[in-house]
Amino acid sequence: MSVQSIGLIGMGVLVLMIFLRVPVAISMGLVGLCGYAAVAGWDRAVRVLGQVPFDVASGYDLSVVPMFVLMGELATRSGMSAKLYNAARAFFVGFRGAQALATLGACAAFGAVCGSSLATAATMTRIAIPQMRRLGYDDRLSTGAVAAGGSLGILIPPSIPLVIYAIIAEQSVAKLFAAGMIPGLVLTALYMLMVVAVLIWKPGWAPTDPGMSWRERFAALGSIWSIAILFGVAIGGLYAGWFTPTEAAAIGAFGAWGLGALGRGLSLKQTWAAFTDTIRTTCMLFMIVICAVIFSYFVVQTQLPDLLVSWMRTIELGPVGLMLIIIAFYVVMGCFLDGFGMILITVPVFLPLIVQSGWDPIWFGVILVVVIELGLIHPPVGMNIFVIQAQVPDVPVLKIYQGIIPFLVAPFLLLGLLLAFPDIALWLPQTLFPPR
Amino acid sequence: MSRLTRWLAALAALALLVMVLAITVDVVRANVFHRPIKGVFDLVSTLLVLVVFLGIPQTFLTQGNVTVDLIDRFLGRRGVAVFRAIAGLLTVVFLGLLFWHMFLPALDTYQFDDRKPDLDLPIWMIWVPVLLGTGLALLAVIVVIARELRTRGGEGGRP
Repeated sequence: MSVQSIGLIGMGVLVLMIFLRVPVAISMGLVGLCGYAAVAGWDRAVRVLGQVPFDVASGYDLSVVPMFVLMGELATRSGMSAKLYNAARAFFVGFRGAQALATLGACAAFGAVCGSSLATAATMTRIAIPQMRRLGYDDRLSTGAVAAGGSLGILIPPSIPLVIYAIIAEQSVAKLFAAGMIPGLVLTALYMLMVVAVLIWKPGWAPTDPGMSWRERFAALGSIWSIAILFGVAIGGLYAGWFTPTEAAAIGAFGAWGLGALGRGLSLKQTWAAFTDTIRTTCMLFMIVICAVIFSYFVVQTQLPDLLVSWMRTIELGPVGLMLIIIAFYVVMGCFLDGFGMILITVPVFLPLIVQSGWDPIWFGVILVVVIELGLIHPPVGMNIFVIQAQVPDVPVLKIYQGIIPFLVAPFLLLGLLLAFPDIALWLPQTLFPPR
Repeated sequence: MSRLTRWLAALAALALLVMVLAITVDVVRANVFHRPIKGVFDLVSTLLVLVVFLGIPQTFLTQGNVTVDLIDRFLGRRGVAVFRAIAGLLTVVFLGLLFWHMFLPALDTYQFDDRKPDLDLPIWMIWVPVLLGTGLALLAVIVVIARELRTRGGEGGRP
């Protein structure tokens, strides 16, 4: 049997195992081990198996993962989201739907200190949805706005999926974090446009804003200086080249703790809970990364990426056509798979093809995160939707689905913009880190 | 078992705390006093091993691994239980192989007396938490399977 056939069988078995409820990590690990053994022999396969976990877990560069997760966990518990929500509201006073717009603005700002969509959606649900319900917003608009806004957490740096992509694609975390920034802001603006469009169509879904005095507006804006400093120092320092990503992550986590403790938002108990939750998330992520590395040893041996490249050459698909197919594939996969599994399984296979056809791997990282965002908010899986539903159980899931539909347009628009103007993602990293 | 895994996870959290503090102090010292701490690189990579491997037994005991449960709506409770059992067995096989095949590279580092360059720490010492964590994770999965079999058996025994 040819190595390519073994590769294809391996892929098939992997997908089957994942759908039959075998944990994603274990599926990748077992298929990677057995596939590698089939190609290169059992002795070499078990040598890789025994060594990879230690190598991955003792990699200095990977220490950014737990520290950025910790930064987000601490920020979530420190009461920052309420301040950001009030400050964002100060911008939209007097608009119809001001609270929904403020929710999106606050989510974007929270995304600047938190790299997880689920955490952003969870904390904003607690702050924004009760307020909007009190003012008489339709549940569809309020839950839709939080679900969509939550997804901004992974595009605006720091971003855990971008870190994972950086590891597997061997790209610079700093450049990827720079690449996510402008698309994140564009997506925020597009989501806000969707709110405006929805309210033109259904004005009854949101009341006019009760207003805020100038004094309150200035007070609200003044209360977020500390969060701006935290982002400025951690991510700004990374952009400016003062810190490595690992240092930026440590400073960010330490700063988030310091601000929470000084602002009396973080008790000792909550701090500890942030740490233990971080350990849980980190272990889950590392299990997947370790097994994905074992799996990628197998993928390289199967020459599947080369097969894909030569196949694409024969059907003479241009780079845009190829990217459209890949995006369509990810959107469909996103209906079933979680984002990390999707990145780790597919990137080793697709990346050589993508680079060959002239696309920048940094740009592709941003595209991947946007399709993961889509997966987080579109039915049937849509984890953000479940996070929200868990906190407002009296809103039926169907209603949240209805609310999210208009917001689904925005990521697709962003994908189109990124395809037409790759510089939306590439300008900032190229300006900050010019090639020497 | 759950008390032991919780304790280890707490140790992992402490390792993370030390990591954050060490890097922060190092950055401040390097930038303000131009005197970075020697060995931070080694320290961080060692602590990361503790964070990951002391935490995984708890992850496996609480079944915190990412699983796609789309087929649940098409299977009955019994069907889900069967697939969970199969997934559990495959996890045991994988962790068992992992545990077993880690001993050789660990022994190598002991025999060749490999050390971290800056801290002069013997690398076999870092393998100890790796083996401990993997072994306990394996045990945790077995405990989970046994627990599920027992509750299933109990349910089946009722009229």
